[in-house]
Amino acid sequence: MNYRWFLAGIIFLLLIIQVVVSNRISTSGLEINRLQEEIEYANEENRILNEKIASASSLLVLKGKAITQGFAKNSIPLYLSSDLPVAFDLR
Amino acid sequence: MLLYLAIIIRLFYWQVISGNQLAQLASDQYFFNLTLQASRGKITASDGSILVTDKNAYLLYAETKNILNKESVIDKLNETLGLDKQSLISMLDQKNAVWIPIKHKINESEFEKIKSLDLKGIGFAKENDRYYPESSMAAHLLGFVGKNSAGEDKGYFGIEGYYNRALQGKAGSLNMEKDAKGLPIPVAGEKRIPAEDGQNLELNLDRSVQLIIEEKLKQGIEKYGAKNGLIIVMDPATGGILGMASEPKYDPIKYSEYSEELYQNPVITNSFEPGSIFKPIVMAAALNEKRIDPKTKFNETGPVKIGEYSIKTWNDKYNGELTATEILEKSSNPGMVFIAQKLGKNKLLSYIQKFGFGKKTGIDLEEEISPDLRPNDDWKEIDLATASFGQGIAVTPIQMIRAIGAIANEGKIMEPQIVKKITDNKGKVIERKPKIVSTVLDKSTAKILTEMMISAVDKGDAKWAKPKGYRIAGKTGTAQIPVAGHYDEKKTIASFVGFAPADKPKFVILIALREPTSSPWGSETAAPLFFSIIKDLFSYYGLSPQD
Repeated sequence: MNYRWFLAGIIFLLLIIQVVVSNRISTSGLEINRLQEEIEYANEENRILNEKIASASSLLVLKGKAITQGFAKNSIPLYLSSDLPVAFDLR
Repeated sequence: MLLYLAIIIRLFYWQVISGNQLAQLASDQYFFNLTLQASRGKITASDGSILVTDKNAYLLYAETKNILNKESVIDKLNETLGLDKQSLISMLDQKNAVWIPIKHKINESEFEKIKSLDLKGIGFAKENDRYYPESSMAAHLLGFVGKNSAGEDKGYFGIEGYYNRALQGKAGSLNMEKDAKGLPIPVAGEKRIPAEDGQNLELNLDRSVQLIIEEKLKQGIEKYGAKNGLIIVMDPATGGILGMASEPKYDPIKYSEYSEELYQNPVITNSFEPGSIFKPIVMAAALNEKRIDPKTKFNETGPVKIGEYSIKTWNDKYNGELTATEILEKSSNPGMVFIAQKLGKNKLLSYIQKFGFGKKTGIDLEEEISPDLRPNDDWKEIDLATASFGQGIAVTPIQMIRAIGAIANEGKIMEPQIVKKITDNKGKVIERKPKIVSTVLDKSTAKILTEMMISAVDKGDAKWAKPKGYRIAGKTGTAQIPVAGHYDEKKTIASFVGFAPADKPKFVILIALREPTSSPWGSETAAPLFFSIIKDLFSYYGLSPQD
């Protein structure tokens, strides 16, 4: 008998909890919608920024900027040999 | 009684016969289904810089019933997007259509312009489009994204085509209950299958190398008056393709404006008779079989007769006694016939196959072909003679560079690879390891042949263009083009294949120019172009002269 009362009490408590929780979250659809819109907006912004970064770091763009800023290709590189001249070789 | 019967019949109709349909209509009102779009994977160069990525785009559509002034809408769309008025009229005049797609993949600025016009009945749906920050760089290698018969995005040619499944990802879905205002009801639960974004591909391609070879190729074609050309740069140790350029090419963003013929990548789809750049292959085979050594002598006194045919030198001048090394230096055709005869028919054909000719390389690009080799029994004496100097045998450029790459790689043939790494949407990385296809030469043979090819560069016809202080192995080629059963006397494919630094090669390069008009000879066109590229590559890789 006590066991049945105990079970009934648990069920009643769970019902109350369900009503309270459902009541609380039933109006959070608005918040969910707002958050989803924010996520989408952030994702879109990310995409646009990634596009801008890719564009700005494009070799063709960098080449164009280098030319306008007066950089020129060095056609005669100067090589510093790793071998010392005999006079400097102290071994 | 009749009234009750009528009510029951009506109820039966609504609840049983139309029950499912009405339940579906109701469900559509309080459930919403959303397709969660997957982003197509990125393609990056070896330094992580983006070659291809997705960007925001929009589908412009019309809801005909909501359009107030059709003529005004048509005028404004024509003005803003340049859409043909007649096409717009026929689209919007469709009587039974409620929703009409007008234009796919309009960009952000076009979207903002049309949005600001606030046209009733005109709407936008989000789409993805491909973005190429490097414009048309490596177009043939990358391929493009078009539409399949179902109107879905699909990759064609190159990497986009070969790896389409990996790149496209999988769309997800969201099924959720909504209230009267269209807001989600969390208590009712949702069924969400998340979208799986496409996998990202990192290539072996070096952006700077690609830029160098594309510029040089364009300049070379113009300078030498060639019809078209191609350059491949490969790491012989790994098979990784560092650069691949061909002209003419197309812009993958505007691919539909180009002829379909241009979509094919000539590096893997065109076959050609290689001419003298094939000589190192035959020489390698004879050395490996110990039929000759670098000092084996041949007496070049005049043309060599094979049946009714005469094999002459390229300039019909004869140099007397030549060593095997000098045969390569002078690019002697009679000398190569002698080498091939020393090797023998069976061994020559066996090595041609061992070097990978007659079968696809397995490179990860769509549409690779391989010209067939004649069956062994069909080879006549003249065919073997001409094959010894690279005529009468058809190869693709990728087969040719892979074979020469084996000489640079201690005799090991590597599988050419475009993609280095694949990363999925969870961050898991799959590395494609370099693959040794086979070992075709002994290490010692590869070393000997390398020295012979260095000599061919240092003492050959193109020595004037070679940068000083570097050991570069290479071979020039001038192949006649077969036209309707005979060889054209004036048209050639001028080529050069080589690797450097010869002792520890960083790259192997093949250049081919079709029908150069300034000079038909590889030594005067492809060779100087090769050396011009290599000077820039030495500088880029910080490789100082060895002498």
